[in-house]
Amino acid sequence: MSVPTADKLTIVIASPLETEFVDRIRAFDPDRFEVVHEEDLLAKPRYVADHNGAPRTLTADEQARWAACLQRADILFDIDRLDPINMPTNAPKLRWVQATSSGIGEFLKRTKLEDSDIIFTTASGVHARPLAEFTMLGLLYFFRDVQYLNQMKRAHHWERYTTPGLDGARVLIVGLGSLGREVARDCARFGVEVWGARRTQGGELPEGVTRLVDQRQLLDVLPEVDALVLACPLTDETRLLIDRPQVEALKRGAVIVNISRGGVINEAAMLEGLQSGRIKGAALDVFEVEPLPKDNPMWDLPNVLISPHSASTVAAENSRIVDIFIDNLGRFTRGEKLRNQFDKARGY
Amino acid sequence: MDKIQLMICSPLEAELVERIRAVAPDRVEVSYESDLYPPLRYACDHKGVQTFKRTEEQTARWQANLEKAEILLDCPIPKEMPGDLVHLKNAKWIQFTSSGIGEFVKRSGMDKSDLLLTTARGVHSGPLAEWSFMALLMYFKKFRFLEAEQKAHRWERYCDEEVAGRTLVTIGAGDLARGVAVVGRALGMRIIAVTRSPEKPREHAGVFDEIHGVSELHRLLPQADAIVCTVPHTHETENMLDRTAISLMKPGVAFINTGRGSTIDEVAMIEALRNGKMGFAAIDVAQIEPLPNSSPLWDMPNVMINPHSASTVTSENAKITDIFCKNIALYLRGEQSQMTNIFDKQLLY
Repeated sequence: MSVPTADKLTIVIASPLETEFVDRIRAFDPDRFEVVHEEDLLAKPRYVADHNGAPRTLTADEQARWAACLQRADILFDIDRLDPINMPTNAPKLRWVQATSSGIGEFLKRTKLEDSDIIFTTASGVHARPLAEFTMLGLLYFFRDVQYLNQMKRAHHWERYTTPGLDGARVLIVGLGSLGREVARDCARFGVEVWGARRTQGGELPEGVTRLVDQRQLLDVLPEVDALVLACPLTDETRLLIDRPQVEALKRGAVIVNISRGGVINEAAMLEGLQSGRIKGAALDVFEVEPLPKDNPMWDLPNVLISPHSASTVAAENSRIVDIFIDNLGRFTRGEKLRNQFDKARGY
Repeated sequence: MDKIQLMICSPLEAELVERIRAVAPDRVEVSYESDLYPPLRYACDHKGVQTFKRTEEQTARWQANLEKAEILLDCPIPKEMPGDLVHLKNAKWIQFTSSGIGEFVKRSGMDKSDLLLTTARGVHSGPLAEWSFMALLMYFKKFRFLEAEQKAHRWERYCDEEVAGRTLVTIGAGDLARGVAVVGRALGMRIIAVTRSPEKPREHAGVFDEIHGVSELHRLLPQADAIVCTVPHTHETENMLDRTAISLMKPGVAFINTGRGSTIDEVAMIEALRNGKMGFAAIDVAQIEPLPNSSPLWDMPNVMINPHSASTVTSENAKITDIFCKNIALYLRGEQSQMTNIFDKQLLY
C-alpha cells in the first residue's frame, strides 16, 4: 500500500548517527516515513556513540536550515540539544521523541517537557549489558582485593593469601528495571545472594533475586549486605534514597557500585565512609556534579574507581538504540503503545 | 568392632573437624591433635609455615597416627620421596584438598597402588572463574586507561568495550573450564573448549558452544579474544602454548593462566606481551614458583600476578569438608564407586 506524500511522517535525526543506521531507519517503511538527516547541521561525535558531540555554533544560514527541519518534524530521533526547552514551539508538529539515553526523567522535569503532549521514549535496556559488566568489574575488583595484589606486584612479593570472594556474598540491588535485573542475573551466576529493592512490592521475583525489599525500608537491611548496587532511575522518590543515615547503616567493609544517578546517594557521606575505610570501596559511573570537579577528593582515593559516565557507552550502542526505534516505528504505525515510553507519573 | 581411624593431615578449623567427627561418631575415630599442625600463613592454608618442626614426642604421635589411619584428609607431601609416606601402613583412601595432584601421584608411585584417591575438584572452579573474569573485565573495559584518567583528574567521556560478544577459548574442558564457561556464557561470550578428549561424555558439555581436540588448537587460537588455560601439568600439556602457538594468537589477545605455568613458553609469552602480540596476561601460576624476584613479569603493566592464590577463598575448607563428609558416608556404606571426585590413576586426573 502506498501512502500519499501528504500523509508521510517526517523523522528528523537530531544527534550524530552513523550513516548505516540512518539507512536502516530509511529502509524500514519508506512509504510511510521520510527521514531527514542533515549531517552537516549535527554535532561531530568525539567518540563512538557520542550523542552530544563537540560544542558547536551554527551559522545564521545553518540555523535557518535546522529550524526548517524542525518545522517539518513529526518524529525526532533524539532530543534537539540546541534548544531542548522550546522543542514544542520549534517543532509544532512533533508527536514523539526517541531519546538516546535511559535516564531522562530529570531532564523532562527541568525543561517542563513532561507537561507537553509529546511522547518520549527512552533507550532503556540498551545500556543494561555494559553497565552490568561495569558492576561486576567493580564488585570483583574489591571482593578479590585487586588493590592488595597490585601492591604485592609492585613489591615483587609472592606470598599466598586468601580473599573473601564474591561467591556467597550478599548484594542488595536498588532498582529492578532492565538494569537491575541484568545485574541480578550476573550476580547470581557468580554465586551471590541477591536481594532486590524496588518501589512496588509483590509480584514475581526477578531471575536471580532471592528476597524483595521495600525501597522505603532500606535502613533495616543495609547492615546485612556486603555490597550495595544502585540501579534505579532518579525520581522524586529516589533522590537521596541513600542519605547519610543509610550510608552509615551499611555494614563495615561494604562495597558500593553506582550506575544510577549521582543524586540517589549522599555523596558527602559516602566520601567520608570511603576515606575512613568504613566503606571498603566504590565503583562509580555517576556523580552529583558532572563532570566531577577537578578538586573533588574522590579522584585521589585509592578505593574508588571512577568512570566518566561512560560505563554505558559501547560501540554497539547506536545499533541497539536503532533497534528500539525501528521496533517503535512499527508500533507507532499500528497505533500501539511504544516500547520504553516515559511515564510522567512514575518519573521514568 | 574397632573404629575406623581417620586422620586429618593438614590444618583445619575446629568447627569443620567437629563436622567430620559428627558424620559417624560410632564407627569412625577422627584424629586431629592441634599441636601437630604448623601455624597458618593465610586462611585455608593447607601447608602452614615451612619452618615448623615437630618435637620428637610430637613426631612420634604424628607417625603413630599416620600408621593407624585408614582414611586421610590430605596427605603429607614430602619434598623427597617417600618421607612421611612410609608411615602409611593401613591407608585405604586419601581425600586430597587440591585438584591438581597428578604429578604428586606419579612421583609417589600412588598410581600403582591400591589406594583410593579423591580430589577437591569443584571447590576451586568458582573462585578461579571469579578471578579470570575480574581480569578479563579489567582488560576489556580498559581499566588501565581509566586508572590513568583518574590519576589525571580527567573527565572525558569515551566509548567503552564489552566482554559480551567475544570469543573465549578454554584450554581444558574439565571442571575449571566449566566454571569459566558458565559465567562466560552468562556474560554473552562464545566459549570454545580445547581438550585432549573431545568425545568423552561430560555432563557439563552443554556449557560450551564448541568442544574440539588438541589437534584443532592451532586453527582455533586465531579466533580467540581471550584464552583461559585451566589444564594440569602433564607431558601432553607441557609447552602446549609454545612459540608457534603464541604466534597464531589474535593480536591483543587476553591470556589467563589458572592451570600450570609449564603449559606456556614463558619466555615467548613475555616477548609477546612486550611487543603487543598479546595484549594482557593474568597469571596465577608460573614456570617457577614463587616467581623469581628478577622475573620481568613483575614490572610489566599489562600483567596481573596472583601468587597461586586465585583459587583460595575463605569458604574453601568448608566446601572441601562438604565433599569429604559425603564421601565418608558413601565409603562407610561400601558405595565407593558413588564417591565424588575419584582420581583416575590412568588418566592422572
